[in-house]
This record gives sequence, C-alpha cells and structure tokens, in this order.
Amino acid sequence: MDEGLRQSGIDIVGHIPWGTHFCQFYQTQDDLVDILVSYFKAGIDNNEFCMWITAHPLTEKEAEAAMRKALPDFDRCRDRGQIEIVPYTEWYLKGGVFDSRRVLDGWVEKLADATQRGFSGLRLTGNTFWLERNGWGDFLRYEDEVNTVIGNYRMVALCTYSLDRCGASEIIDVVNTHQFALAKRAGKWDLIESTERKRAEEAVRESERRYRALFEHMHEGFAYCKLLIEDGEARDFRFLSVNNTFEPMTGLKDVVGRKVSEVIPGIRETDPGIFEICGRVALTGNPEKAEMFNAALRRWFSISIYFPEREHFVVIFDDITKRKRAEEEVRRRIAILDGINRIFQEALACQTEEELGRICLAIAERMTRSAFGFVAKIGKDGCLHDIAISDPGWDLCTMYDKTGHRRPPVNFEIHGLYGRAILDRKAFFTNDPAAHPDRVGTPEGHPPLSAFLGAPLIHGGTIIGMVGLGNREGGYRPEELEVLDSLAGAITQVLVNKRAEEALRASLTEKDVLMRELAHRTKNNMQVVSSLIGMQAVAASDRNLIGALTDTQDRIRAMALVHEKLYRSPSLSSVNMRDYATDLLKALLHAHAVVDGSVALSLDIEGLAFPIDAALHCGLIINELVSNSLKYAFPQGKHGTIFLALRRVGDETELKYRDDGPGLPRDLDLSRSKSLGLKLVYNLAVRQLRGSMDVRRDTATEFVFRFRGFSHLERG
Amino acid sequence: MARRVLIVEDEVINAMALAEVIPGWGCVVVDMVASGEEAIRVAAVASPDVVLMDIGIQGATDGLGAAREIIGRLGIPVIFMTGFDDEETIRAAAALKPLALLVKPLDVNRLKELLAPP
Repeated sequence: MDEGLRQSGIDIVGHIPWGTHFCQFYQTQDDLVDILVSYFKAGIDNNEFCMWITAHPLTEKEAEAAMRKALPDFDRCRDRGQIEIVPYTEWYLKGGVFDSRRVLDGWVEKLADATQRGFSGLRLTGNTFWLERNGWGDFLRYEDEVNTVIGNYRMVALCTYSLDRCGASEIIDVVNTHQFALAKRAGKWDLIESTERKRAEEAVRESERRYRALFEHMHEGFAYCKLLIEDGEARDFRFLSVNNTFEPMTGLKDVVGRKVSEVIPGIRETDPGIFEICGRVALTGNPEKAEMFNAALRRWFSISIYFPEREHFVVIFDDITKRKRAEEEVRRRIAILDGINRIFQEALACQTEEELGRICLAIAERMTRSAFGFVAKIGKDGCLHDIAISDPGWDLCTMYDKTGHRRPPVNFEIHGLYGRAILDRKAFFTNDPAAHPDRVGTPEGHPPLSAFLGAPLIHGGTIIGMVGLGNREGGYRPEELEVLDSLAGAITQVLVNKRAEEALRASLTEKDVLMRELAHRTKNNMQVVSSLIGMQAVAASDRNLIGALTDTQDRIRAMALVHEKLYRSPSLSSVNMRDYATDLLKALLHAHAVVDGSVALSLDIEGLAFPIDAALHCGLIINELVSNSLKYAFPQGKHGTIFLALRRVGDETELKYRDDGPGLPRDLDLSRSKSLGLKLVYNLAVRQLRGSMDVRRDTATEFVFRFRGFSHLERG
Repeated sequence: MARRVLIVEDEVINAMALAEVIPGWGCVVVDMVASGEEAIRVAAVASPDVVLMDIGIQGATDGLGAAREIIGRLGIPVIFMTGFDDEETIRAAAALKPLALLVKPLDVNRLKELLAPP
C-alpha cells in the first residue's frame, strides 16, 4: 500500500496522504478560486487526475479561466484528459436525482480509468451549493460513506460549502464528517478540526495500523477486490489493496487499481473457476474455502474468501503448490504400484503368454492414456514377434496382404523408433516421431504416429522384448516414461514366469505321458508272464502243479489289472476301487469258467480312490478270497452268491467279504494257516496294510477288514 | 546251532517268500517286520544272529538308520537288501560295514551261503 504523501497545494494544509477527505467553507467566488486553483495545480504537477464539480458561484467556464490563469499549460492538460471540470448537474444530479451509490461508484470508476491511463490517483472537489435543506441528511450520509470508501483508494477529496447556506448545526455536521475544515478568519485561512473526530480518527488510524501490520506481515497473501459485474455475472475484479506477500507469492506486480483481466490477460478463459467462486461469495455473502490450481500462474493456492461489503471480497491465500505436487507424486506412485499389482494379479489368472500380454498392454495403455500399443518379444531369429497388439491399434491398422486379408505386423527387424528402446536398453519417448533421427517410416496402413513411448523388457541383463505405446493426446511426458519404465519390470517378470510355467506344464504333460506308458508296459509285461504261466499249466499234468500255476496266474492278473486301471486313471497315483474290484471279480469268474451265472455277485463298493500300493494289496486279498470261494464254496457249477462291500466307516475303510457257501472250519486259525492263499490274506491285511482282520463264523464265514488311512504305506 | 534270522522287509510277499525258503537252509526266522523302528525293537528283544535288512522301508527310520543302531549299539550283523543300487545308497550302506549288500532281485544261492552255519 502506498503511504506516500501528496502535496495539497494549500500552504496551511501542506502534505496529505491518499484518502484525505476535507472541506472548505467559503463566502465568495475568490475564496473558492484561492483554494481550489492551488489545490488542482498541485494535483496536475503531481500526475494526478483531477475532477472539479462546479456549482454557484463558479461556473465551469469561470473555473477553467481561473485555472488557465494559474496554469498556462491548462488547455493541454485538459485535452489530454488530466482534468475534467463538470457542472454538478452532470455529476451529483445526473438523471435528475442525487444517488449516493452512483456518485461513489462514479469516483471509483474515474480513479480506475485514471490509473489505467497512467495517473497516480484521483484528486477531486465538489461544491454543495445546489444542496437543498431537505436533502441535507442524505448528503451527510453520503459524506460519511465517502470517508469509508476514500480511505481505501488513491484519492483525495475536498468538499466546498457556502457559509451563507450553513447554520451553526450544519457547520458542526460538516466539520464532523470531514477530517478537517478550512475557513477564513480575519482574512487568513485557518484549519478547524473536531477534537472528538480527531480522537476517533487517531483511534481508527491506530487500529488500522495494527491490522495493516497484521496483513502486511502475515505469511499468506491478501487481496481486497471489487467485483465487476456485467449482465448479473462476475466478469472481472479490480484489486483495491494487496499485502506485501502478494507479489512474491503470485509474481504479479503493481496490481492495485487494475483489473485482474489486465494483470493476467486471458485469465477468464484459463481460470473461469476463480470468477465463479468470487462471484458466489461476493453476491451471496457466504464465505468459502477452496484449493484451486491457477492455470495462468501454474500454481496451486488454498484460498479463503469472504465479503466485507456488497460486491467486494477479500481473499486470503497460500501457495500450496509444493504440497499439491507432493500429493500428486504420491498419487502417481500409488497408481504405478496399483498397476504393478494388477499385472501380478492378472498373471495368476491368465492361461497363456498372449492373454497375459494383452492384459499388460491394456494396463500400460490406460495408465499412460495411449491410443494403442504392442507388447513384443525378441525371437531366436533376433526379430521382434508381437505377443499382443491392442484392439484400438489393430482396428486402426489397415495393413493388408496380397489376398486382401489383414496382415498381422509380425517379425519386425530391430530398428526404427521402437528399436531405439532396445538398442539403448532404456525407455524413451518422442512427441515428434516424424522428425526423429531413428525414424524409418511406418508400414503401409499403419495408424499415423503422433507420439511414441517405448521401454525394453530386460531380464537378468538380457533384453527379452519391449512395450511400445503410441498417440497419447497432448504427447508423452517424463511422468508417462516413469510409469512405463516401472510397469516394464513387472511385465518382464510375469512374462518370464508365464514362460517358465508353460515349460513346466509341457514337462509335466510329457512326464504324465511317460508314466502312462510305463503303467501300460508293466501291465503288458505282467500279462505276458501270466500267459507264460498259463501255457505252463496247460502243458502240466500234475493236478497240484496245475492248481498252483492257475492260482499264480490269478494273482498276476489281479496285479496287472491295477496297472491297467492306473494308466486309465486321471491322477496316475490312485485307482478307483469300484472300477478295479468290479473288473477283478468279473475277470476271476471268467477265468474260472463261471459263465452261466451260477455265481451271482452282490457288490456294495464305494468309489474310493486308493493309492497304487493299497489298491494292489487289497486286490490280492479280494483275489484270494474269491478264488477260495470258487474252489471250495461253489465247486463244479454250484450256485451261490458272493457278497463284497467296501466303504468308508468313520475315518476307516471297511472291506467285508462272504459267500453263502458252507464256510470255513470253525477251528481254523488263519494266522497259522498252511494255505498260501489264507496266509497271503492275513499277511497282506495285517502286516502290509496294518489293518485288522476279523473272521465271523455264523452259517457262512464273513471276513471283515478295517484299514486306517493309507498314508503310512508310502515308501520312505 | 541254527542261525536265527530277523527279516526286515516292507513288501510282505517278499518277506513271506524269504520266510518260506530260509528254514529250508537250517535257519530259524524269528520274525518279519516292516519298519525301521520295529526292526530295532525286535532285534533288541529277540537278539537274532543276523538281520536281513531292506534299505528302502516305510517309517521314519529307514533301513540304513535301523542298521546303524543294530550294528553299532546291539552288535548284530546285518545283510542289506536293496532295489536301489545307486552309488549314494551303496556308499552309505558300505560305511556301516554290513555282512553283505545284496541287490534285488536276490541271488538266493549267495544268500544261502551267507546264512550257512559257521
């Protein structure tokens, strides 16, 4: 704020500050000329814009003549617009009535205009001779308002009152509404000040000094502005006052008295939000707080706005650009981490390298706002092979082969713009691809390239491929480069993992094929052994030998069947016991020539999955029991039924077997049996499978085995 | 005096086959067990003259672990039987100084010689 003093031009008054509002009591035309001519001469000498509102007893012509007499240069000053002398009818009573608001706004506008034209302020005078007694009260209120307004502007005002038209009470009123008054006493001008007013003014000045000091020294910027409204909308505002922090914080100089649209040309287009919020506050009176980016100044401000009076607002603001940039940086890093996280998450669900490439590309495109792009790998031929090309890129691409089909852009040599990222082993971008030295041109039909961003995919020091992106609206910035560089690491990792996964899957598939082949061969070899034994049995004549060989053939068949089930099993490590036991029983009946249905099967077998060893040992137990039934319970076509149940009972597996034949001798001790078959049953059930074996002898003999889990059967 | 033999083999049919044939050579099979823990326990109680030990058996203690106890602590000689004749297994078995190491399928005559009365 300018605290500089102005030369008043009146000896007894001397220097006065901007905002001085004083009066003169006169009796003659000479009294007026005496004071006002000196007053305006000083104003003109000090580059102020001067306005003289005349009334009786001095016409504007007489005023002009008086000025011309004192100032030979007067006409030139008037012609270049430094002084205006107008009658009261064209100022106070313009439109026929006195409107204090219009008059006050008129002063402010004159000042603004003068400031814009390069004058340092406004010096004015007005005569009140025209004032009628019934308008006195209104005019005093106007004078009071002049006091509140003028203090904020670069203005000085001198009001002239005819002593002939003032009684004692009017004189007191006038003295009280002005800072001081001039009156002639004994032929000399004297200065009158109201003591009460002096005290009040001193108090106001002190208070103002304090508040001014507060505003001057606070860290926040401060501006007091008047809103300029056109057609009911806030179109502009004028700076009436700013504090010391304002200039360093905004970089804007000498703003007081100027419109913001002059200080920052184009601000209405770049920052319409400022006018919205200021207009709202100035019109509604509700204070507001906001954080705003000022595009013209390229800075972030936190602002608090309130209105001290109609169509005026005060804004207190702080530069929060650093904090906002830090927040932006944090947001950007979170977005990058989120992108990386998404890549790793998606990698879990993707089945193929192509699918993964498409998803990585979509994430990179979205995060860099690219129109299209590709992810490619370097093949054994040293060329780039695309893993994924984005749909927008693909749709824009109109490369066709000779048959008119869309030709995929595969097997690119490593050169050109995209090659630069690989050759330099680092990400780069260009927003002028056409002028780039590496440009080799785009293939026919390739979408026009306005900007390019590329990053290599490096794994263990070796470049395995790259990501290329194109046509971000507005071009790429270092921010997008950093995003792609960060994503490239994650994309490399998931692509390498996916490749390893695919290789592992292929290896497992190969192993699976080999295992099935092995199970198949084992079964075949066992069948060969079984056939050899069968041939031996046919050739033998000893009944005991034939029996032993046939029994062995049965046992080998039971084992071979496990391997057959195994290579047909989806898991390769377990066998479905319902399928296995059913097939085993049928094979035994067939081998023992039980074909006419003389022996019925009553089966209650759950589809339990047994590990190979357990299935094999369990199969041998069933084989022995069925062989035993066929030999002893139902010899030579005797009818009967075999009952077999296999199911889960709690956490145990229960195997129950019986036939409806005569049953085993009551005194038979199975653990000491000489029969190889029964010895096998006992040893396999108790020693091998570590189960329990219970033989219930009622009318028939029932074998009940219980096995607890099979995990202990796994080989160490 | 007939030699007393403990068979440690987790494939019961193989154990049964040995238990069928060994008595014919004038030996007594004191028991057949399927795990390393059982082998140590039975050897300590029955004090056999020799233990026929399969290396790859079920349980926490394999044939090598059980043999280390039986040879080292109980001083009972062990004949190893193994289906895995890889270098590592053979070196580990030899380090325990067994009476012999037989690779499956067993050479029955060689076993008969080893079990022949002194």
